[in-house]
Amino acid sequence: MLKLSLVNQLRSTYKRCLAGQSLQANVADSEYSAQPVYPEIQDPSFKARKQRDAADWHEEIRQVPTVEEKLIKINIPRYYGYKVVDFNDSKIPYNALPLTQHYTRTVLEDLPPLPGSQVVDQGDQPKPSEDASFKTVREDVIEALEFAHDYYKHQEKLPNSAQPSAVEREQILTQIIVEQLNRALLQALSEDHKHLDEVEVDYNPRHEAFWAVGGVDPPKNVINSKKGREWQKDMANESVDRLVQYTGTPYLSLRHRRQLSPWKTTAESENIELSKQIPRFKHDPRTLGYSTKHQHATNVPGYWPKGNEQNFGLLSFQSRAHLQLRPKSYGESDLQEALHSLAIKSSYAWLLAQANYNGFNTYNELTYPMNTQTVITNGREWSFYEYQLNTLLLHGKYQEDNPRVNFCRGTKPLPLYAEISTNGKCVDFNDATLRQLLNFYANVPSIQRSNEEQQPYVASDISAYENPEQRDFIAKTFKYLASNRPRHLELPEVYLWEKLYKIDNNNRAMEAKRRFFTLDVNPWRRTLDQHDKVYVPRAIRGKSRENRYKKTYYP
Amino acid sequence: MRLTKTLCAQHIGWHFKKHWLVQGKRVPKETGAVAELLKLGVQVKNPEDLLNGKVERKIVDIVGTRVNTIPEDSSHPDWHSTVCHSYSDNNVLIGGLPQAQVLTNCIEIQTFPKQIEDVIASQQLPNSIDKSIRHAILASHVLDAEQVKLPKVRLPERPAFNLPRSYGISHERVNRLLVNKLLHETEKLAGRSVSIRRKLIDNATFKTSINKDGDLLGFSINAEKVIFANRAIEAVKGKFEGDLPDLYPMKTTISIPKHHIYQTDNFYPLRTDISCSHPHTIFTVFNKNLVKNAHGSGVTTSQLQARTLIKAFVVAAARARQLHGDSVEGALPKPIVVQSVQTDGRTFHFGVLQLNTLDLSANNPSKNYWFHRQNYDLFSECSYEAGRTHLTNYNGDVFRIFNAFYNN
Repeated sequence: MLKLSLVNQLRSTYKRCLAGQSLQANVADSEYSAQPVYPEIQDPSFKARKQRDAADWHEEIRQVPTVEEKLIKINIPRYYGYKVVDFNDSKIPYNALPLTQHYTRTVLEDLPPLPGSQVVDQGDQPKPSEDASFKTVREDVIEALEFAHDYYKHQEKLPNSAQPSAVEREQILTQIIVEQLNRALLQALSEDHKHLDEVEVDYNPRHEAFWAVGGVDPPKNVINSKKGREWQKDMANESVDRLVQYTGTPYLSLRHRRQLSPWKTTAESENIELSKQIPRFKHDPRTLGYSTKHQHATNVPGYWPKGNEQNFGLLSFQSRAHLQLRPKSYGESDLQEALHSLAIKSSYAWLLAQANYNGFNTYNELTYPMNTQTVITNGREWSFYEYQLNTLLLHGKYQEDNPRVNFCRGTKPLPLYAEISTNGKCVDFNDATLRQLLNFYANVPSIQRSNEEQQPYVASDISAYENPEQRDFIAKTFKYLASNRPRHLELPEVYLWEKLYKIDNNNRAMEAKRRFFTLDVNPWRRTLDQHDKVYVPRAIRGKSRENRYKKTYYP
Repeated sequence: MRLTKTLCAQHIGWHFKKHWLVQGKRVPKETGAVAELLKLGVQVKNPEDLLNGKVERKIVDIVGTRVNTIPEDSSHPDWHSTVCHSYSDNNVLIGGLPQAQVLTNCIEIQTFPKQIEDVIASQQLPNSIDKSIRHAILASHVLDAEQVKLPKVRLPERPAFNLPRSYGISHERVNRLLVNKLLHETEKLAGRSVSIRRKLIDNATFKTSINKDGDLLGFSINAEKVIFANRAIEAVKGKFEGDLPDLYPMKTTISIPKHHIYQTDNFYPLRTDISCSHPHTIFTVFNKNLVKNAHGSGVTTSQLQARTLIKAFVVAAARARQLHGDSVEGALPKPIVVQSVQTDGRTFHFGVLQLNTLDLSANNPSKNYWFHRQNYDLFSECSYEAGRTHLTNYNGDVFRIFNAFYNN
C-alpha cells in the first residue's frame, strides 16, 4: 500500500511537470520544498566543536531568565570554584599597565582640560553667579578639609592607642577626608544640581567582578598535557582563556537611578584598528607578581540585585594607600602607570558588576555603553578618571575579532592643597583640582532606558517566581556562591608520597584503588550540581516516599 | 589481707645510699674557731661567698618580634594605689537607670525638652520621606553586599547544638549604614543652611574621670557617630524638681570593674578653637554580643537606657573639663546639653542630658537633668527570605524624633 501510494504521488507530479505546471503549487501543503534546505554544514574538527559547545553555553546563559540564576549558571561548571587570577585594588606590581589594558581591552587617553573659564563666558549662566557659588563650595571644602585634619591629628594624641602602619594611617585619614568632602559637596551642590538628591551613597562597598580574557599564552601544564595527546599536539601552544576575579573596596561610591551619558560615539568605539593597537601582555600574569586562587565567580557592585533602583554608578573614590608599599626604585613613571591601571581595573570591574545586574556578563555582550567616574586619592593628591565600557567580550577569539574597545581617560595626580600648616590652616588650595571634582559631581546622569532596553536578557525576577521553594533555593545558592565560604569538606588533595609512589611510579600496584586519581576521577571537573540532595525528614514530608529529597533548581 | 610471716630481710644497698645521703650533708661542728678569730680582730668570711660570688648579669635589650608585655602589677607606670571604678563601652550598670541617675546625679524627666516636643509635633515632612526611610532600612539591613562570618547563634532550648555559621552584614556595619543613611535623609530635608553648622565624625573617643563621694570613677567610651555643632545647644528653660532614687542596699558603683592601672586624663576628640566643636548628638550602638552583664544574663531595657545616659554624661563631662579646665568642680557656669541616641539597628532610645553640675555627691542640691522617652522600635522585622525582602511594622515616629533631634 505504502509503495503504491508513493508511486502514485510521483506519477501525478510527473504528469503535472509534463503539462508544464510549476511544482510550486503543491509545495505549501506538503512537507517538501522546492529549494532543498540543508542543515548548516558544521566543521567536525575538535576545535570547532569546542567553540560551538562554548557558544551554546553562552547562549544558554543568555536565555536564563533572572540575574541571580545567570550568576549561578556561570558557576555551574566548577564545584570547587574556578582558578582565577587575583586582581585586587591593593596590589599593583611593576609594569602593570599593559596587562591591565589587555585584560580590560581599554584605550587610555588624557582627560581633556576642563571647559573652565572660556566656556563659562558663553554658557547660560553668567559668570558672577557661577563664581559666587564656586566660592561657597570652596569655603565649605576648605573647612571640611581643615576639620578632617584637625580631628585626625587630635585623635593621634590619644594615649595608649595602637600605632597603625603607614598604609592604615593613610586609609584612616583619607576615609575621613573623603566622607567630609562628599558631605560638604553634596550639600553645597544639591541646590543647583537636583540629581544629587537622588544619589545613594555606599560606604566602603564591596566591589567584585569576574571575567574571562583570551590571548594569553597557555601555562606549562596545559602545554604538557596537550603535547601528551597525539591529536592535540598542534594546538599545544594556542592561547587559553584566563579567568580574572577583581575584589576591591573603595572609600565611597555614589550610585544613581539614571546612567551617565557616554562621551564616545558608537562609531568611535567600534574600531578594529584601534583594538589591535591596545597593548597585549601574552605572558602568564604570575610573571608580574599576580597570584592565582580558586574561588567561585562573583559579581557584586556593592549591593544585592534588584534591591535598589540606584543601579548605575556615578562616582567612586579609590584608595592609593597600598602604593606606598611599592619600592621607590620603580620610579615616577611607573607610579603614574600604577595609578592608571588601578583606575582602569576598578572602573572596569565596577561597571562589569553593574552590567551583570542588568543581565550582561563576560560572555553576553553589552547592548549599550556604560559610564562611570573614578577618583583615586590620598586626601592631598587627586587623580580623576572617566571610563566608558563598550564591550565585555574579551575571551577566546574575541580578543582578536572584537572591534569594540573600552575607553578610559584620566589626569595626573593633582594636589588639592600644598599642606596643612601647624595651626591647622590649609595652604595653597588648588582651585583647578576642586573644579575637576565639582565637574564630576555636576555631571548629570541623564540616560534612562525602558526596562526592555536596559535589561534585554532579563526576562524575570526571582521575587516574581511563584514557587517559594524555588525562590529560596536560588536566593540561598546565590548568596552561598557569593560568600565564597570554605566548603564543608576539605578539598581533595594528592599527598606528595602518593605523587611519587602511586602516580609517577606505579610502585603499589596491588593496593586497592580507592583514591580519586586511581579511579581516574578529576575532582576539579566536579560540577556545582553534583552533590547529595537534602533529605526531607518524615516528620515534615509525611508518609509518602516520593519527596524524600529536596528538589534542586539549578538553571 | 593475708596474714603471713613478716619478712625481715633488708636491702643493704638501699641503706647504704640513704646513709651516704645523710653523711653527705654534714653540718660542720662548731669548733669555736670563729669566736677566737673575732676576738683577735680577724675578719671571718663565709667560704660560699668567696667560692660562688654573685655576678651581676647585664640585661640585653633584644629587638624581638613583639613588644614585651608590661606586667600588670605595681611596677606598671600607670599603677595607682587608689582603686578606680573604670566604666568602658562593654560594661553594664546592673542597677539600670536608677543606678545611672545616682551615679551622674541626674533627675529623670519622662519627656523631651519642650522645644524638641514642639518640633516633633509641628514638623512638616514630605510624603515621600517614609519611602526613603524604608529604603534606607532595607539598604542597611538586607541589601548591602557585605558577607562576613556572623557570631554564633545558640538555641536556648538546645545549647549544645552547633548551627551552621551564617554569613552576612556585620552588626557594626548595619548600624553604621543605618545611621549614615538616616542622617543623609535628614540633611537633605534640612538643607545646607542647617547642615553647614554641623559636622559629623565616626568613632570618637571620650574620656574623663570624676570623684564621687570618695570613689574615683573613670569613664572611657566610644561614640559610633557624633554630630558637632558650631553653637552649643541652649539650656532647657524651666526648673525641674525630683529626687534621686534610693539604691539601698546597693552601692552606686556596683558592677563597675575596679582597676589599679588607669589614667585620669580628660579627652575630647576636638580642640576648642575649631568652629564646630560643641557636642550636639551622639549615636551609640548596642551590640548584645559585646555588651553583657558580668553574670552573663541579657541586658534589660532599664540597663540599656542607663547606657544612653552614661554616654551622654561622659561626653558632657569631657566637654566641661575641656572648656573649664580639669580642676572644675561643682556647678558649671553654663549648662552643657548633649543629645544621646542609642540603637541596635532596630530599637532606638533617645535622650537629652543637661549637665548643670559636676559635683556628683549625694547631698548636692542641684541636679543634672535627663530627658527621655521610652524605647521605640523602627520596625518589628526586616529580613530577606526566599528571594523577597520583608519589612514589617515600620514606625515612622522614629525618624520624626531623629529629625527633630538633628534640627534642635
